[in-house]
Order: sequence, then C-alpha cells, then structure tokens
Amino acid sequence: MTAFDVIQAIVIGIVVLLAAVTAFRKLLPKTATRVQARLSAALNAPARSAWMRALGLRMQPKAATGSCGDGCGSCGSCGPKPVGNQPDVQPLHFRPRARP
Amino acid sequence: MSEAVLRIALVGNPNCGKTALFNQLTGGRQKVANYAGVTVERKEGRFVAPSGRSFQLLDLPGAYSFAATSPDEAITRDVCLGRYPGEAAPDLIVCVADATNLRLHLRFVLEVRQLGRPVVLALNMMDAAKRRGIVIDVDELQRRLGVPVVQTVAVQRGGAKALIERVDGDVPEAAPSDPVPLTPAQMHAQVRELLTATVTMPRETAAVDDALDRWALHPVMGMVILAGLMFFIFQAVFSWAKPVMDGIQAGITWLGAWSTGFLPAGSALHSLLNDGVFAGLGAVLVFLPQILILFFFILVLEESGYLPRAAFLLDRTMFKAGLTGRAFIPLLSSFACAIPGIMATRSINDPRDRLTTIMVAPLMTCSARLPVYTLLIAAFIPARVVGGVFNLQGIVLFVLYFAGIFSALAVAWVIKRMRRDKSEHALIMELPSYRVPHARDIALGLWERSKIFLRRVGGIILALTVLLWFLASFPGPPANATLPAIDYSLAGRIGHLLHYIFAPIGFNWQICVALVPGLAAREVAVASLGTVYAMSGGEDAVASQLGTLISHQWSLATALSLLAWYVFAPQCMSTLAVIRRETNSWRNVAIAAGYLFGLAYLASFATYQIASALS
Repeated sequence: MTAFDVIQAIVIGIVVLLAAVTAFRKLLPKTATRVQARLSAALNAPARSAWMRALGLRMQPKAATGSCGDGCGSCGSCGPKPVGNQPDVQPLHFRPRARP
Repeated sequence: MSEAVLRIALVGNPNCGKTALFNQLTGGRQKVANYAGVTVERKEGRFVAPSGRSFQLLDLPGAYSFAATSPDEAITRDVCLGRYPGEAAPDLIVCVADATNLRLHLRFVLEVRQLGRPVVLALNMMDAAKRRGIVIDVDELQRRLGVPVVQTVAVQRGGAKALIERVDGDVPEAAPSDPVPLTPAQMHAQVRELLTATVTMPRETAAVDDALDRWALHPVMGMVILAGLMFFIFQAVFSWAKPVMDGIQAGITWLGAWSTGFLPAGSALHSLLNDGVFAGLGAVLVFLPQILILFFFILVLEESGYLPRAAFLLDRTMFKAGLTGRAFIPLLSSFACAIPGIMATRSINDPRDRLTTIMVAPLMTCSARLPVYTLLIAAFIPARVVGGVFNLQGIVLFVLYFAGIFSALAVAWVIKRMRRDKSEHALIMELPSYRVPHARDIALGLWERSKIFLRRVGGIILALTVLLWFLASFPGPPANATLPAIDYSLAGRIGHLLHYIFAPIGFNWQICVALVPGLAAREVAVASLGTVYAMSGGEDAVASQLGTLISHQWSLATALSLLAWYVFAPQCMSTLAVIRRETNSWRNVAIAAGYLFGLAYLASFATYQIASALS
C-alpha cells in the first residue's frame, strides 16, 4: 500500500463520515440532537479524562428543539426560533360534532 | 444599571406593512408581499435606537379583530392579551394601519386601544396616501384616539424614522379604553365619526386600480390575461436561461477538469471528485438560472398586488372543487415550496378546509421539481417553435404545472365528496392597491432564493451525492467482472432489486437508484442520476452531458413516465415532516404519502403503457 493509498483512504473516510453526519442532521434533526446530547453526556461523565470531557462539552447541542428551531422559512431555510416555552405551531384540532 | 429591553409588538390588519416595518427596523429579511396572509407566524427581532436603547420587536400575523377565527389570528390575540404560553404581554403595542384604507383599519385600532395598554398608531403607506390626494389631520386623529400617531413609509429607507423617535422617548401612557366594551356597530359608528373629522379622501379607491381591475377582474378577459401571464412565464424559463446555463456548464466542466487533473486517473479520490461531486452537483447547479427566472416573475406578481386578483378569478373553480377561497394563498406559496404553503394554511379557520388544503398542497409544482422537469424536457422534447411564437418545451412545462393544479383540484373534489360535513365558506379577501415592484426588493428576494438553492446544493445534495457515490463504489467488482463496477456495488444491487417494482412503469435500474436519495429532496434525483451515469459509463464531463446521455439511453415513454411520477410523488421528507407538525398526526402523513405515491405509480403506469403502445 502506497502513501497515496493511505491518504486517499483517510480523506474518503472523513468525507463520507461528514456526509453521513450532515445527512443525518438535516433529515432527522430531532433524533440527531438527541443522539448528540447522549453522546455529549457520555463523554462529559466525571470518570472521563479531561480531553474527553472537553470534547463532550463542545459536542453539547446548542438547542434542545432540533437543528433549526421550530420556525420554518422554506425547505432548506430555517425561520427564527421562537422564544416562548411552547413552539409556535398551530396544529389542527377537530371537535366531534354534537349529536342531534 | 442597564435599562430593561422594551418589548414592542407590531399588530394591524393584514397587508398593512407590518413585516416591511419589521424588516426596516431590525434589518431583517422576512418575506413581504402585496397580499393579505403572508405572515402566519410570530417573528422576533431586535433593534437599537440612535440613543443606544435596545428594543425587542415582535412581528405578529395580521388580524382584522381580536375575535380570532383562524389560528394565525389567535397568535396575535394571545400575544396582545398576555395569554401566549411562556410570554408576558408586550410593553408597547405599535398598531400599524394602512393610511389609504383607514375605513377598514381604524376598526382594529379601536379594538387595540380597548386593551388599555400603551399603544402607538403608525399610519403606514403615507406616500401612497399623498399620491392619491388623501389628507389626514394627524394631530386631530391623535387627540381623538388618545394615543400617539406617527407617519411611516415602511418600504422607503428612513421611512420609520418618526416611529423610532417616538418609541425611543417615554413609553406612552396606557390608551384610554371605554368602560363598557364597544359593540361592532358602535365601533363602526366611531370609525365613521373619526373619518369625517380627520380624513379627506378625493375618492374611495385609486383610479388606476379601478382602470386595471376592469380588465384584470373581467370574467373572460381576466382569465385570458391570467393564462397569458402563466404561459409567458414558462416560455421565459426556457428561452432566457439558455446562455447562462451554458456558461455554468462550461465553468463546471473546466473546474472539474482542473481540480482532478493532478489526481491519478482511476483512483477512488479522482472518482469521488469527478463522478460524485462534479457530475452530481454540476447536474443540479446548472438549473439555477431557470429557478431564478421563475422566482423573478413570482416576486414581481407578489409585489404588484395581482395575485389576490387571480384568487378572485379562480375562486369559482376552487369552490366547485371543494377548496375554500382562503386556500389560494397557501396553494400559491406551494409553487415556491410546499413547506411555507402548508404553514400558510394557518390562515384557514375551518379545520377540515385546512386539512384538505394541506393534503393537496404537495401537488403544486414546487421549484425543486424544476431541475427534473427541465432536464427531461430539454433531453426529450425538441426545441421547436409552435405557431410561430411559442417554444414547444415551454408549452410542455406549462402543461406539467397545469397537471399539478388540475390534480390538486381533482383530489380536493374527491375529499369534498368523502366529507360528511358539507359546510361551505365564501371567499372574503381584500384586494390591495396595485404597486410598482421595488427593484431592491426583487433583487433581495432573488438573492435569498439563490442562497437557499446554493445552501441545498452545498448541504443536503452534496452529502447525499457523496453517500451515493460511496454506495455506488463499494464493494468493488470481482476479478472476473464483465459489467461496469457500479452493477456490483450496494447501490447497483438496490437499483436492480427496485427495478422489479418499477419496471412496469418503464424505469430502468439507474432511475431506481436515483429515486432512493431523491426521497430526501426532488433535485437530489438529478444529482444522483449524474453520479450513477458517470460511474456506469465512465463519462468525464457528465455534468454537461447528462441530458444528451439519457436521451440516448431512455425511451420517450420512460422519460414521460418519470415526468408523470414527479407530478405526484411526495419525494420530499421535509414536506411530510411539516404535514406531521401542522396536523399533529402520523395518520395524515401516511394518508398523504400513500395517496401521492399511489397516484404517482398509476399516472406513470398509464403514461408509460400508452406512450409505449403509440411509439
């Protein structure tokens, strides 16, 4: 195996890993945030070494609601994240009709 | 001690310029348009006055009254009354009113004043009022209302200066409220009284509007103008974009050759860059000019005030199909992207009408379909001139857009038949004054669209293209391989497996492979086709040759079948996620995905079989 082959394998490995993480975060933002929070908590445990704890801290997700907040501009663009405790959503509510 | 940040809420009737004022004050770039119902969410921003004082600004959806009838109006009511979860009532309410239409807007001003909170009235669009010869005695209006009144022009630089100066001063005292709440009739009487005392209007409507509306709202001529406009837009998408598209293609080809030149040919890294990144992304990137041309027309129509007129013209058809007139704006927004369109259904008060609109919104032709449509049209439909003026490719694009609209109406009609509740809601919609679109706003809108598109290309599309390249490269072919390497890869095997399902509708295994990452977003399918064909055939500059390549390898029946598939298939996970959020139900997501995929398969099957039989 030549040096080029080694470098090539490393570069491709990193690029594919980054692509997988990006796709995961974009397509499943809430799951990605949950996984990130768990991973961060596991690394940031008191028994871990200093560098692992620092890495855990850095990995802590910035927002608990997902990658983009709950505001939505269009697919591919995020709107502003609402400030209230409740997300700014107005889901449908159906009331059963009164029986005659 | 630092001074507390003052919280200001912008409220007012729809289309009075709240969001334009919000953008002016905060430097934000929230969407503005010349029709009611653009803002359905609460937006938040900050600005610092010249004195150095900070303000938190809330832009709320437009409301005609605090007796909210739709979910977006309920947000405004709840925020103003301090009932919004986790949020106190604002310190100051800036009530924005259209100075050219005070007869309607002052009624809501009286309701806001009734809250007994500090209120400032911003008379917006004062430039338009002056042009129409409307004279407002601002001091008298201020005295009679008992709240400060300022004049603004939200679309002009510095047009909010008076408002900034007023809010930067002392917080006004609580507005005087009547001890007994006024009845609607009393409010109307009070508005009439205020108008008589403070406003002089040469005529109730603008002369230009009346003259234009005689044509634009004519039952026959209006429809002819609407059809002509749409036809012209799709012609322009094909005719005007060509030179820029050729330039982008040449640039990508050059960049691909230059950046892979130093890598050994046949190496995995060379393949990643050439077959993955450049073949995949290049295939999508060339459609940017066409997307921008389409959005240029959408933005111009939005700003001009023509779109509500189109809603008026189409109301009868929509009504017969079982859609409420208020569904027009959400469906129109879905032409850009189904997500804001589905969110805009919050302006529909009847939950069943809202659900019907959500269900049919994905059928509107969003801009993500454009790369797929134009790739196939350019490859299979000759660029022939029909009738001496029309481009055949533009006509086919027009038909595809029309097919989306027609199927949405048909599905809404079926839903109407299935509904037990037969209540009907008439369209009540304000027709705004016509306005000459601002070049700056159009330029900013196009810039935003370019950024969204490029972010998607550099984000999700790049990520999925790289993953597809990986799946199409590994595992490698066996030593005695006779077929291209991709046939032995994981992606190749998935494609061959899916081919059993899609063979009856004419899709080859390469299309099947592209459909899988294309589930995330429609344009990804184009990038994926670029990558799959680059890896199957060893084409060096597939980014610029994808159209030529598929025109040689696919039959016309296959191409038409794929076009039919994309008219219906819900190949967008974000849309399904928003349906889940807005309906609070996985069942509705399953119904939407199920019927759309079902229709897509049926339409493609019929198209393929008929086209094959005829050819």
